[in-house]
Amino acid sequence: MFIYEKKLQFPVNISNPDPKLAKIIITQLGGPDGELAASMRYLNQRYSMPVREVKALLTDIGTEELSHLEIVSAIIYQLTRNLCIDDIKEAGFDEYFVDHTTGIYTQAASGNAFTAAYFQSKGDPITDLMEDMAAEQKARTTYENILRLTDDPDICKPIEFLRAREIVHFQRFGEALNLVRKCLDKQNYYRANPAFDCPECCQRGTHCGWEEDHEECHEECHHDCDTHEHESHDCNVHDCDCD
Amino acid sequence: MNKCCEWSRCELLHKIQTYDFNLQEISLYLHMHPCDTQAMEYYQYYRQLSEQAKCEFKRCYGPLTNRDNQSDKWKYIYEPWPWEGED
Repeated sequence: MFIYEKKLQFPVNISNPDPKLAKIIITQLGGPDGELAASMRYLNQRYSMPVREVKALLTDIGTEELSHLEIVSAIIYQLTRNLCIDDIKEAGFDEYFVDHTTGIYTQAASGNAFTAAYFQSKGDPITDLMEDMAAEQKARTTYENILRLTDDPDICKPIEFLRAREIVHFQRFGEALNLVRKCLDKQNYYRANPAFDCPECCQRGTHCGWEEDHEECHEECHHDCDTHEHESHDCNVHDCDCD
Repeated sequence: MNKCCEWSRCELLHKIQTYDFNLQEISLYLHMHPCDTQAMEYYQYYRQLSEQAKCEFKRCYGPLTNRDNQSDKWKYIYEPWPWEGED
């Protein structure tokens, strides 16, 4: 379950309102590569993910994306505070204003409302993780494009933080993909979909060929960590054994 | 059954679910009635029960969140996940 903490993951304190930029940045709230799509993508995908490390990763990154949603919303809120009608008209914010006043609404910069068609939950761990890695890169590009459109440090600081998180998530999903591949038939990843073809044994932890491979692969990974005890940055998935 | 706890994992989790639901319900009420002292007492009573039960759960059965892994090993990934159902 989820519980709210009354804090932002990264502080947002914007001195100068800028409704024109708010209309651009809102795309990271409800746009095709935005934080809402990211959160829903991971929180939906985790149910069919058969590898425990990756269940944890999808749960906690999906949750972190909700915190990012809140940061983007705080930016838009502060960029559209204390506006007069002339400010709104001059900035071209009137098209948004007519439908939402200065309320926060999940839409893309184009004005298209959020849709679940922005993400997939395919029920296949390799397919889902490939989508996740691409999604993190697309969000990074969008944040970089936002940084090209402003030089206000009050806005850039939280946007730079969000951009950096995309890179970290991409890195962790890359490791997750490697782990899933190790757990599957090493000669042919695509022989079976472990989320569907043997769901009982794979998801309930009883024995089948796949699960045995899984255990072996854990031993292998843990061994790798022990071997690289002093290079813990290279094996973050199993940091516990590196400490 | 865990030797360090008189409750099974499932029983203790059920207690936590009950206490936390009570806290959720009374919190909604308190948002709208912040000066209701009787509601405030109810809140404090369940807050204490919830804290104690969670403390015991973490000690005996592992972390409930990724912020309370008390062991020097990363136990968070090994616990059963809530959507998998009870054994």
